[in-house]
Amino acid sequence: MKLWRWLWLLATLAVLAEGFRVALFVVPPDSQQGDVQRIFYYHIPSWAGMGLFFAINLGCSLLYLAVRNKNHALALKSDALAVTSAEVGVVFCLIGLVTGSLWGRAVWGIWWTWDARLTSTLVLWLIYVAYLLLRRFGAGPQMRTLAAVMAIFGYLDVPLVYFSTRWWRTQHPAPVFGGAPGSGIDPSMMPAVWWNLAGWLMWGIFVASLRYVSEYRAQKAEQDEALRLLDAPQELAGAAPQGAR
Amino acid sequence: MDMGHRHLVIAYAVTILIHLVYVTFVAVKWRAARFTKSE
Repeated sequence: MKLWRWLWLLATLAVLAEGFRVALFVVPPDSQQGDVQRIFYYHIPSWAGMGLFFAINLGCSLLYLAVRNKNHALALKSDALAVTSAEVGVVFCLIGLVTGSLWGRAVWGIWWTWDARLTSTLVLWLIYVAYLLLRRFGAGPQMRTLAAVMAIFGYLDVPLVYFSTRWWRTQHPAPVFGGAPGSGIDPSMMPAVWWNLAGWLMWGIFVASLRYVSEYRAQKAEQDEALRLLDAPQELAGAAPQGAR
Repeated sequence: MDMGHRHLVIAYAVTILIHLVYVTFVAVKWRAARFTKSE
């Protein structure tokens, strides 16, 4: 592993440790919910990570479709980054769903409800799981094109998730940040938000950078093998004895 | 430990566990890719 990755990892772990300490032992408990509200400090960074990595997936998918017939090297890189960002986004989305469910059980008394926010988020997770399954079990350039188109359609659910609590009446609370006048949390709680947001996004970037390397190399090897096989019949034909032709 | 505290501990533990599982998968893939010929 390169030196910059080790340094990034060390910085990430330090920020995460500080975020953990601030979230659990420094900021005050919520006046209504008590300590269970501290789930918020791991819940919010998960959604931020999901939004970031699904946006990267969208950008890379658009780039792949734009350059796939013109610049094969750039297309390969953008496709590898699209897969990587979808995986990391799915992990963050899963964590958001699980931590939200645990929080909901403690505060609402139920693990799950089919309101617009929760349902659209579950659908979003399923769309990207389907995307990854297509990537896993499909093969060839058509699969990559199809996956890129699927990623574009899948991303349409992201604004739906974001605006669901504004457009419809939901069990999920109204937006905490950027919501109605008076929304937000007490400034004394913000350090826990910032530390954990920074820490988990740094972690996501670290994991994605590692995953990108392996995905790119695997795709490059697959492409080289396909090109080699295309050349193979000619080589075999050239090597075959005259009578066999 | 009341339900609120229990769920807080589980939520933090599950977050860290899911990330650890995924980073293990990534590390396995990364190690395998070291032996894959690249450009």
